[in-house]
Amino acid sequence: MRVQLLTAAVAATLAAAVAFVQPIAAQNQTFRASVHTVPLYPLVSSADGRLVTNLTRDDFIVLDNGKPADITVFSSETQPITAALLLDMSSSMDDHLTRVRESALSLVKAIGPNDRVRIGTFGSEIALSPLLTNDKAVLSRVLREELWPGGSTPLWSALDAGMKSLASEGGRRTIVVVTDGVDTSTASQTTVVDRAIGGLFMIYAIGLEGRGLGQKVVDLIAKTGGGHFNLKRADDLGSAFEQLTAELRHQYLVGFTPSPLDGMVHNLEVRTKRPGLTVRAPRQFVAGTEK
Amino acid sequence: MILRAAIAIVALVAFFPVRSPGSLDPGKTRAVPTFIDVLVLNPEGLPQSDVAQSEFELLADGKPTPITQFGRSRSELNIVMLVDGTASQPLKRYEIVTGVTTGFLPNLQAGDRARMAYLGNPPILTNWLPTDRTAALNAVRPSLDRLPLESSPIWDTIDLCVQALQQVPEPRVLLLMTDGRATGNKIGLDDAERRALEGKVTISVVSEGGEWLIPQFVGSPDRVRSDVSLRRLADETGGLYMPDGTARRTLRAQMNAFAYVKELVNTPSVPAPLIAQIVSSLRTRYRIGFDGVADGKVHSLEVRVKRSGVEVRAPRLYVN
Repeated sequence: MRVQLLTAAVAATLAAAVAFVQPIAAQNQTFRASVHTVPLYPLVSSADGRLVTNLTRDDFIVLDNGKPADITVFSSETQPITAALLLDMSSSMDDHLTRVRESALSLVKAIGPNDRVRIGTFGSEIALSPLLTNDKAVLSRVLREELWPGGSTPLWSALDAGMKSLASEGGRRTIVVVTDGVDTSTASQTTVVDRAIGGLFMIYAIGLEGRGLGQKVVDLIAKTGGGHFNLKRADDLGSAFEQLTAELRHQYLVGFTPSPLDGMVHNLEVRTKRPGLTVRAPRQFVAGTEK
Repeated sequence: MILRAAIAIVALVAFFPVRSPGSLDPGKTRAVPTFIDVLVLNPEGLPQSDVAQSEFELLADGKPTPITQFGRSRSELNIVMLVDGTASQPLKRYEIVTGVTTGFLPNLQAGDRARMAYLGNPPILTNWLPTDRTAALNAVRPSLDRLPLESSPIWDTIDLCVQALQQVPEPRVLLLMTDGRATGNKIGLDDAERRALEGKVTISVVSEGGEWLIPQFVGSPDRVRSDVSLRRLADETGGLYMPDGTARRTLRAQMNAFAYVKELVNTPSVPAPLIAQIVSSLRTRYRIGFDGVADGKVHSLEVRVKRSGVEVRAPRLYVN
């Protein structure tokens, strides 16, 4: 038993240590992955927008700087989610506060036993819960007690803080942000983009009725392989969360070893051999180094 | 013969069960001496020091309960003042600094033990302050100069302060100055309250937590008060609640720009005299003892005074 615990502890430590540079699917014991394995979580949809969930390893093509890469890890099973849910509490969100809370509570109800979520808010302050947990009672308590409207919209600063808060976590690291406003951050957008690409974070955003999501945020989301929803009616927030959850549940795990291991930003493209399908995946990543 | 002897021993043990001191009978609870501090205020809000034991009534779990001990509480306080200078209160720095330096520190007396705590991530808790007033001021000032603009883990910091107060005897007082907009906590309001009750800590509050109108649907606005939780903490632990600034402004005025400006002028945030009033009032309390239930559960408590027009501030809950 002690040996098992020690082994588990060492495995967990190694996974966490490797995670920031190049996260690997270390928590999924089914796969053998080297420390340089780059895990991708592509989402595949058909021309009519339906999610395609029956692909195999051989259906995928990964292009690392334009060159085909060997896929060393593959799974079509649901992968655990490690997410920071960031809720805009700026003054303009007053009208939506209860709706946001209720929708977020529904999202919390839907999380799986292996998922972990951290709740954060941004407005007059950027406040991230210290708790990253799958305890639905705790998450619900945070949503009931810690949402306070007021202040501006430090969106990019909040994205940065959310990513930092998950920096030491392994696996699929996702930022989900709900906002309606124009950014008022002091954070450098370049730094945020670099952090997102370097850490292979996946960013999702839901823009509530109003000005919606800015183009720079949409561009960032596209680079990370995440998704966004611009809602015409705030009433659609619940269904947007449902769709977001469905997407996260139906992403594949595709891992490959980049070449060369030069520590540089590489362009990335994930395709399928089947025609007519659309793949959403990160467009860039940072290759590890030999050391 | 041996069998008969064994049966006799079993019968004797069954009839006179051996019990270790303080052990609980299954299904029964143990009574232990329990003490609370009670403040009686006259209609002007001033503490009354002439209330006799015979004027008090105590109800525990809704039942009249005999007062077993009665006297005056120690006037020397063991007190932590917790201030919120986080980003939700960006315009409060002056009020916070003057509240601490002119409302709190000058009203400490010989025999008091005091610490300062600041909300932030992580929260800050100073050492016990020097008894010399100037030295205490010098010890506090560097922290006041850099109040953190971070999240507001009010409940976690209350827990931290309650733990710190366990190092000293009662009366243990936590004086909280915040708007009640709690964020970034590991524990919740219920946990913080329970820990304060277990630690026999009285929580008093000076709050600018006001009322917001949050329209959700046409004709169905939600009213939210950020200080509801703070009032509850003060009520249930037997402390005082002092509304300050926006907490005294009316929602009706907030919905009307002209009325709001008028109320803004008429109800500025001036926490220092409120802090001084709390510290002064808590020195004039009664110490009441009764046999409380020791079962680790929260029990209700009500203290009444047979005198018209007075307000009684006593814990509404206790845990042993």
